[in-house]
Amino acid sequence: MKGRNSWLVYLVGSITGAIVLVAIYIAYLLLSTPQQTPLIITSEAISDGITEIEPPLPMSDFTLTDQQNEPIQLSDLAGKPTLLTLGFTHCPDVCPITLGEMRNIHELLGGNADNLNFVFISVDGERDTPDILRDYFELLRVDNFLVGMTGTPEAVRELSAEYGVEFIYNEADENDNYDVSHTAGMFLLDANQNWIRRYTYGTLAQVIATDIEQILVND
Amino acid sequence: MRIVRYVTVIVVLLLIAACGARNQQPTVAITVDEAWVRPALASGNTAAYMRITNHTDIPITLTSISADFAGIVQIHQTVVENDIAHTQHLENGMRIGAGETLNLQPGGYHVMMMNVQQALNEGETVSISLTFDNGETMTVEAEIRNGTAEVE
Repeated sequence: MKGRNSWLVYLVGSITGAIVLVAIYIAYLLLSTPQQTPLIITSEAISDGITEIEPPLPMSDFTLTDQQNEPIQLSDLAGKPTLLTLGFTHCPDVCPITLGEMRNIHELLGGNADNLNFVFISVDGERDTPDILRDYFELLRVDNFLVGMTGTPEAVRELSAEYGVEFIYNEADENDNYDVSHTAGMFLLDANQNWIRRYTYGTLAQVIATDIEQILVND
Repeated sequence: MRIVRYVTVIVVLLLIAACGARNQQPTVAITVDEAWVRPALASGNTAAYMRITNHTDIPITLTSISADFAGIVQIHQTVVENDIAHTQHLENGMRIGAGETLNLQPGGYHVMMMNVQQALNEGETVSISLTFDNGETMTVEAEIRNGTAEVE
């Protein structure tokens, strides 16, 4: 009887131990996952669709090619705040919507629009040559104010990671047409190229324009 | 009291006539309006938008769309999850419930047009054909313009 009892104690003990270990492991997984993907280090939602980056986050400089086929650096645009978005010209819906919103913001800002840089960075450098960007901007009537930037997917991937932007090339069809899943929305840098705002996709142009107007006044 | 009988007869006749007229209503099952296409570069992609109304009392499915100016035309839906956007092919078409109106609009359902053969410039008009599972096929004229997600 005594021998059988100690065998039971062992069994119960090891099952309890196993359960505790599994529980600790699950707790570890649950607690550690969110920390592995820090999208925005410090941020505060200040209004519908607007996230303030506080304190402003200095962004790294980078060099790509503009729609005139000239090298362009982010630092070339310093001195004015910059509103930027990432996308690709083969995008049927979300990217032209975003560029249409940029056109609306440009119109809503009126004369103040000259004090802001508007930038579109392609996540599809393979197809988006400088010439394609130039023609596309004309077609969408954003060519009079928009700065296009394109480069190798590696170069764009490196800079976009800093903004928490992800993009994935989806499988190409038999015509070599492929979709690029990518982070939508817009980003605002101040005149010193510190990241200060994240505008979620779908935020009304009027809301963004009003926010930018206040920033331009305080600048 | 004869007058009452006359009036009754007239009312009944009118009711029958009204019922007949109702049944003679043009049998338009589906209407498509406000069709437009965003400008596109030659060999690029674009999207078409429109409003489709099912006037019947049974659901109808839009099974396919075609246009001679694009290599591939599919019914798609834009999906944005955690602010990451992509477009999804609705291979089974789109069901329009009895008496319902379906809006294909920026940021939602759209007609995905791939490998556009020639540049589509603002102000021009193109034809798009729709096929429904009730056997109906219709061709609509769509204006090429730069619409936005907001007020159209």
